[in-house]
Amino acid sequence: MTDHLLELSRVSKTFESQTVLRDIELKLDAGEVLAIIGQNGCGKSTLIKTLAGYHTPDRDSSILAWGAPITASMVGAPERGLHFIHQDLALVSALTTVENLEVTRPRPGWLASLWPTRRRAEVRHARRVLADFGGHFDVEKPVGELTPTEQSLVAIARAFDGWTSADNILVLDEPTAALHPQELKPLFAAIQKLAHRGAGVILVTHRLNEVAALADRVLVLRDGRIVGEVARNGYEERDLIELMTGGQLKPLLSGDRPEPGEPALEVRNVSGLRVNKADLTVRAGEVVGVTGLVGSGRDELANLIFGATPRAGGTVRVAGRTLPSGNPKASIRARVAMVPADRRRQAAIMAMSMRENLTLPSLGPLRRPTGWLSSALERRETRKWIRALDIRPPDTEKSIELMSGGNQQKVILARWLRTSPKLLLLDDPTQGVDIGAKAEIHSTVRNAAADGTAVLVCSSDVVELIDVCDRVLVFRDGVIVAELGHDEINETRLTTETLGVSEAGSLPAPDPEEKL
Amino acid sequence: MSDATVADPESPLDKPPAPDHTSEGQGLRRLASTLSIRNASAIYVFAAMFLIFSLWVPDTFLTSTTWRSLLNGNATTALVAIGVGIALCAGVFDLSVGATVGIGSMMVSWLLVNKGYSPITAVLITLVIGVAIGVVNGFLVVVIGIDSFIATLGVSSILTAAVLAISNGQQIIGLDLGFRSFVSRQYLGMSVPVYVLIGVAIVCWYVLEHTPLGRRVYATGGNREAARLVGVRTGGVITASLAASAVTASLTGLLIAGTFGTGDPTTGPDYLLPAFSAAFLGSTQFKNGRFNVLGTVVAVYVLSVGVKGLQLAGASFWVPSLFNGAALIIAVGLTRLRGRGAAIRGVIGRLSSRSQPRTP
Repeated sequence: MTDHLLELSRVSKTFESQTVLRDIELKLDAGEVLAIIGQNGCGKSTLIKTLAGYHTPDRDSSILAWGAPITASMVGAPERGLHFIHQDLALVSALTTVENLEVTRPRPGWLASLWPTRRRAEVRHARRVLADFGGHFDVEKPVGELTPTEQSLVAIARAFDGWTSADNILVLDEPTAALHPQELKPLFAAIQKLAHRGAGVILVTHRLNEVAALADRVLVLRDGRIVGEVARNGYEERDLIELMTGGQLKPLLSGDRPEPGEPALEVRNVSGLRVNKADLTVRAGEVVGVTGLVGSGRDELANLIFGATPRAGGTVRVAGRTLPSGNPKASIRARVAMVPADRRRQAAIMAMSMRENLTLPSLGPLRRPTGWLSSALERRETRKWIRALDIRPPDTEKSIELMSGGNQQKVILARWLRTSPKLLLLDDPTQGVDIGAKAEIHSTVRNAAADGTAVLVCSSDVVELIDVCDRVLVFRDGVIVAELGHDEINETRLTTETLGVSEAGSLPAPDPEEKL
Repeated sequence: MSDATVADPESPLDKPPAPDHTSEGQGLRRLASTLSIRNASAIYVFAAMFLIFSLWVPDTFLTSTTWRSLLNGNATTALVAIGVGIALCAGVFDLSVGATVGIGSMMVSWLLVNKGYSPITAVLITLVIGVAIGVVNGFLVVVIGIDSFIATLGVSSILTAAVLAISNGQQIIGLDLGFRSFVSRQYLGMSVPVYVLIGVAIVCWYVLEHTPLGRRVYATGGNREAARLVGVRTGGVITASLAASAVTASLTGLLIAGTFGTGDPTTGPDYLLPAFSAAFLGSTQFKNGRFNVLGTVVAVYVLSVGVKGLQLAGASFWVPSLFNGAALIIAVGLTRLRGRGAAIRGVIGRLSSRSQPRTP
């Protein structure tokens, strides 16, 4: 028994007659990285929350840590403790790295929290802890100004800070959602370092390539059950996808790509904070991908075209009409649509229902002749889109906040497809979306293109680019450095061009992020 | 937005139909859920209080005088609360409403008495001043980018100074008799502010809940950046809602002056907190946490019935304040614990995941 750091047997969790977890069996040993993968709604988060003590499991369940039933004092304990890093990292972005590390440090008694802080020593300590995980940056800068990679290192350092024994358990819940694949290296190195020292690591993720790079074992969850357990190198990526989806995944379309029509988007000399004099054309019916590292301009281009952020110069024409800079309303009038990268901050209005979110850009046609906005017409229209995109749950009045990420994104996509756009700008359209919804979003995008919409997809996801794009433009340091035709889009080429190295194998040292 | 093109998703995409929740019963179910205790607790609290006070102090509670004074005496508070609610819908605080009520009261008195304007001119000028105050608030919030809490706090203080400057700290008496008698007379047992309240409430309810403009106001309040990116002119929406809030407040002020026949420099500030209380309490009713006109009006009257009943039952002079405060905290607290509790506990759980208590 005591051989395992963590041992779950017959763990089930039922919410009001709905069983979310069923007979989970799981063992974690010291020095091991265990990946848990599965689609949205498969029970991953419930499992993590059960470990964290947030949910109480059903009766027969047993959770043993270091051979003893798990207790409250184990969470965050320096010795034989469970440590959690959640997707949003839970860092306080206005505070510096030093302060973020100190905030959670246990102090002896409440009186101690009023003692003056010893700044010098704290800074030195923070530098040491971060250097240990390969983080070499200013620890006195607010965390909000750090790159996503650096932030994730701070979160790991914070979870690790103060361990007095190596055999702790670290649980990472989708820690990399905001990171570009090329930015993952320092984070992976940090995770592996912890495992080598004897910690047990549980990694919950969507990204299969992460699994391949890190995990010693992979557990696949579907509908609350473990449907597969494979050891390192004992599987192909396709096997995992099939396990996750239960084999329902439709083959991705390829081949029947229509001939592109007239130029729908003409970008000339457009500059922004990062983008420097970009020129590109997208034709009607064509799907063009844009990729590059964070900060390369890839993440700014859609905003500049749509007018979400003002342009420093250059012109944008859509179907012959010039779009003014920094005016989303005018862009929408010219039948341009944009699905922004940050769904929570820029797209979904969480206090509203699915119906209200979906109809927002074009309410005029939903009025009765008296001018009264008809919620019956709205519901009818929303139901059409629920069917078309298979949005779940199919309840028009469902608060969007309570929907899964993939379904939220479908609502946002439907919001814009409903305006029958001439140009559809997609900024990282499947971030935080599970693999099934991702495939559906991709086929919806292809269908829109088949109907004559010009589509621009800004993405760092190689599979996404291969699946949906007719050609891909690569940004590096604000400039378009390469254009790949459909047959040339593959992981190696994309990586090479993105990083600007001759061979994908030789990455520029120490870390591509530091150049930016 | 004027573009009426809307795609029909049915044609280009072939997907198996999802189970459809359409049925005749859905409208009824929606109504039932709107009137459930969860969504309309105020109605049930009202019924309970009515019952209690009817049994406790039937001689005084169940008289038409009591109910008439309840109705007439709280219409002005409800008006200010609606204005506050509109601003809150758009996601901004308007802390200047109290002082704007004061400006309305003082301005109309000053124009009538000191300037000798006709009642109609004086009323129109007072309302225009109200709009102007809202536009200034909007300018500070939207163009300069000051947080609405701070901007309207500052404006409020400046308006208080203006009231004192105009009045020199004295009451203005001897308002035009026609104006006074028109405003203070009762029609069918209800005073003019009650009719104004009904009119304003209907207009605001219609605009907020049944027009595209109202939807854009809620969208702006819900997520300003997302609203901007779907083509809402959020700056305009915010300015307009602050103007609506200020004009309702100045309208209330002139009604108060007309009712009492004097312009009193101390009028106004007392309206601020009750109006906010009612708006927040109202947001817990009917619309699941969203500020709404009906909920706000209901909240004002439910609170006032409670206060009135307690007064009639001989409660001490400090009990009404206690009642108001406790009602607000309990009503809002309950919705937090119940409806959105899961989400909030989730956030707290994440923030304190290192030190979270657990129950294995």
